[in-house]
Amino acid sequence: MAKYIFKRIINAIPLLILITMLCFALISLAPYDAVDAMTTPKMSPELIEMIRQKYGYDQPVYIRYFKWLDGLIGGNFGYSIVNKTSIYNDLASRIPNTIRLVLPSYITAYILAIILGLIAGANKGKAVDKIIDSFASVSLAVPTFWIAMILIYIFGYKLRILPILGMHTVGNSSLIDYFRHFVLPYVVLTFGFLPGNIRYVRASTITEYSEDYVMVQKAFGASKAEILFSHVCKNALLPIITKIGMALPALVTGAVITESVFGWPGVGPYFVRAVQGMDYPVIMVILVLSSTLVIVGNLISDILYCVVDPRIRRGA
Amino acid sequence: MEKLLEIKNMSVSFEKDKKTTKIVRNINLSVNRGEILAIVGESGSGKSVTVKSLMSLLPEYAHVEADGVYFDGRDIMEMSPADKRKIYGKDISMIFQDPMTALNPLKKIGSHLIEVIKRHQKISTREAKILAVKMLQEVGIAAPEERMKQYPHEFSGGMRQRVLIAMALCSHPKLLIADEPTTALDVTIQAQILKLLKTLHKKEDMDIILITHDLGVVASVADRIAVMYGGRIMEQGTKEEILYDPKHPYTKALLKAIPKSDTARGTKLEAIAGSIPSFADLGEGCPFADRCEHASVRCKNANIGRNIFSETHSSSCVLKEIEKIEQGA
Repeated sequence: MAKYIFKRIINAIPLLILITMLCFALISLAPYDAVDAMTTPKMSPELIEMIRQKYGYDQPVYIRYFKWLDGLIGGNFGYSIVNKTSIYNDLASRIPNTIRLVLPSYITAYILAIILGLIAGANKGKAVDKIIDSFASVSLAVPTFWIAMILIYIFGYKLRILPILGMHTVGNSSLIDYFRHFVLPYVVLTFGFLPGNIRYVRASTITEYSEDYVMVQKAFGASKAEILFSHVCKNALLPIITKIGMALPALVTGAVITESVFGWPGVGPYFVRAVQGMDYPVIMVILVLSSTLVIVGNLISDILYCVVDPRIRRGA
Repeated sequence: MEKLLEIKNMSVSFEKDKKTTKIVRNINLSVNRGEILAIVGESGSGKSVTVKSLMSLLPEYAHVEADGVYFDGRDIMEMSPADKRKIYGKDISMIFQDPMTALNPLKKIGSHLIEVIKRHQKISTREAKILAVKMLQEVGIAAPEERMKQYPHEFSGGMRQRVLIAMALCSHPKLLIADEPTTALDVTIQAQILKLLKTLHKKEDMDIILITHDLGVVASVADRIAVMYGGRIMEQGTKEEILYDPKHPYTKALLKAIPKSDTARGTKLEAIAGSIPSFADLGEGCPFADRCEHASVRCKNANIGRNIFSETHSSSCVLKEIEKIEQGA
């Protein structure tokens, strides 16, 4: 098993390098670069050239890439063009906020999805299943920002019981105040993560029920509960490990829209502002970060599979 | 002769999209104590459906009707699902066609066995474990202690079938239903499994219903044979009666289709003309009528009588109608 894990990690490295190349190439190909962002048309060509040299933009692309990569590896993510602040520090203060919001929502959505998905899958075609499945289908089609707006309208505007912006009221850092700010974006995000996961668990449960061994268990006198809890449950939840891996990038960029709607001081609004301000260094770092997390997430899923599924454990 | 299982006038129909299709029609079948009954038929003749209805394994759209299905004196049709679960895996066990998919891939062989043992016997996990090892040994699995800790994918097809047989035997069932137990296995393993079943039949005093489409298998193990076609039993009798003195045109055609070892090279194999009809197209008459060389207008009649040839041998055919004693049974 250790060999398999080692192999998977080794395999992930070229992929990571490829991703940094892609991110860098894409941004370099854009018609507007960091120098354009820093200069104005009124500046003299000499001044623009000076700025270009100062930031190293006169050098060929591959040299700039290696310098940038070198910085990334050393934890030097560069500086925001717009704010002139260190991207590393910016992210270090914002990522924890995002995690604080996304993690509880994801866990809640996950648990609810497992319960609802198993119930639906085990009762395929019956009324419970139809209700859960239509709920999942409908809410899959509903955009999160719309739910956010509706909730803000009801709780923030009509009832006026919950704040609609930020993480704290200025000057009030009590836990209660935090939770009052937390609850709306938390509900919205949970709702956003829920339907996809429900459908995933449901589909997986239905597939598992159609397996031969379920019939064999029936022939050996297993009750519905025994089949569900002692057989189908574990097997049906196995593919959900994939979703655990997918949750990792979501911890950074999983709530861009919700965070922006609620003014939550996480990565979301930071990223949106960077895109609006054409803050290339910031965009690149976040791109690399989230795609790296996708790869790491996949790696974690693979390793978890390997731990849980005896067939893969041995096949490796 | 004492009957362990007696199926009286059972019919099974599938209802899909508001259309009812009769699959099994008015079957009368019994298993005597101390015998191996083989149900023979082509794919789609309703043999699996017949036994699956005994085990309540049919999908929800299936409807089973019968005048009674008596197992060990009790009518299974009248039992509650919970009562049925008490006998499934204990008094009646079943093994299946494809051993590769019949075990839960994420469960160790040991837990499969222990689970079944503890479901039907009030014993501790430790005792169950000892029994499980003993059962594995009995079905011919070497190093059972180590094998208990392994997963199904570490077993070959034949070994998995042995594990399933061990699972089936744990609670000393009175009846074992084997639904094409060797179809998915290669020939040498097939012979081993059949031999094992035969040995266990004697040793465990367990009756067997063996479902197969392989007449070679039948010849080697069965005591009595029921030939099924189109959801009906065409002919039944002892092995000798069916194999050496077949009365029904279908049985005759089936036996003719077996290639013989002295068949000359290049000779065309005998086949029954036409193909097996779809259940939806079958009327009340004889299902074999369209392919039968002796067919006449009478074959389309709703009531094909039963010809009795001996105490054990009977067939459903309009031929030899004179010998008919029971009408429509």
